[in-house]
Amino acid sequence: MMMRKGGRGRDHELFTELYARYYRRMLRFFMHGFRLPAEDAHDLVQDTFVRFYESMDEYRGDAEWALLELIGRNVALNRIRALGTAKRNAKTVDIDDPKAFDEPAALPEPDYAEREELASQRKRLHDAIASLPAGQRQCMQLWLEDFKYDEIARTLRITLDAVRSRLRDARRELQSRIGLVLPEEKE
Amino acid sequence: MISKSDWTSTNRELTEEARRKLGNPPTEEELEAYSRGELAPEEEERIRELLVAYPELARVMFAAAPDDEAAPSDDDYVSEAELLRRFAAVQSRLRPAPQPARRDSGRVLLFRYVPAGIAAGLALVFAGLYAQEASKARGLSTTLQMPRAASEIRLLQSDRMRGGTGESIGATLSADASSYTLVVPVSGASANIVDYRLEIVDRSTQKRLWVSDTLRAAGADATLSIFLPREFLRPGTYRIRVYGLAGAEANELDTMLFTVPGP
Repeated sequence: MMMRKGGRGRDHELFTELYARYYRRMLRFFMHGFRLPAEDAHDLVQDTFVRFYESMDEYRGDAEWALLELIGRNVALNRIRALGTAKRNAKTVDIDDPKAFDEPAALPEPDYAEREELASQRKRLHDAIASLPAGQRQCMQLWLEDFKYDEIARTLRITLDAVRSRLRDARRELQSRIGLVLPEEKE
Repeated sequence: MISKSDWTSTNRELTEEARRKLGNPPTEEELEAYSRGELAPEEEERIRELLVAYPELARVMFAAAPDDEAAPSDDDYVSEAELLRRFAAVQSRLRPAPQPARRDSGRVLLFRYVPAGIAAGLALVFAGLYAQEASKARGLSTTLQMPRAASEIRLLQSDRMRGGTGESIGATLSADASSYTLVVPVSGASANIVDYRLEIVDRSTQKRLWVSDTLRAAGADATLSIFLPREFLRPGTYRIRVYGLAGAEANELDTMLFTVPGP
């Protein structure tokens, strides 16, 4: 990639080089690691590089990805805190995208008996998850948030084997209590 | 039948309940301490529950970084043109970063700035003092060119002159290299007058050249002495008027003539 270099001499040249080398990887980190929509991810990657540029006097010239990753996590954390963690997994759509609102037709409304049965099942599911032992419940809740096993392990500071074991026990417990078919397992 | 979205919705309800129960998300310091395993078991368990209640924070903290970048066939691939456009956008946001040399020499700069500031302050003070003294000197010079009372000199008249004989004696003028000394007798004053005022008038033009402040004589038979710079009096004849001050009234007591000889 040919980028126009300018500004502060060597620092700017280095910044240009690192931007070209790591932008795509950083974007992947934000989109897949943090599960952010593409445009939000681009914004935060830009913020990350700006922060990196502003702290380049502290950069010793090695482990550039480690520094970028650290800054990226802080940028994302600040954004989440600024949003008050309210916009949880909200899907961002482009209003000019004709497919964005191309929702399938609504399914027929369940009748009263079906609604009551569904509400009852959800209540039992809620209570069943809530009553799991803490370790199993924490693994189950993160797993339902689409965390991968290794991410659950790092988050809870437990081993990967412990994650597998706890999730297996949690499924067994839930099935025996409420007899529901669990979502497809993924690791 | 319970669908996958029901599981997800139920989980969201649980996390919302946990947020209400546990409060705010963990701070950065708490997360760092948790990551390093530095917390007590019960505190570690509290942070663990908070991370489950705030999974988006947990994801940012603990998501694995990718080892590679997107390939052209991936959904997150950024084309060269897009990358150039993004780079142009970020360039417009860049501010010059602090120069390392400046940061390293910050203490040196401080030690340079402090004496420089003190020197500038002192220069201002001295300039002010100089201006003040120059102004004083100008004022003094002007004052010295004007007549002034010599209160330290009091000549007593001889006994012959005392007693209110009605014989008025004239003012005497003596000279040195730089000034004249005019001695004015106030023998005609009544005993209750102690304050006087003198005026010097150019006899030829009748122009009043100088008026003294209030002068105090040491008794009815005393004299008032006036220093007259030579620059003040050109050769000629001048009239002295002596006023006695009583409250707000000024009564002319006497007039005298004296002559300044030519060079």
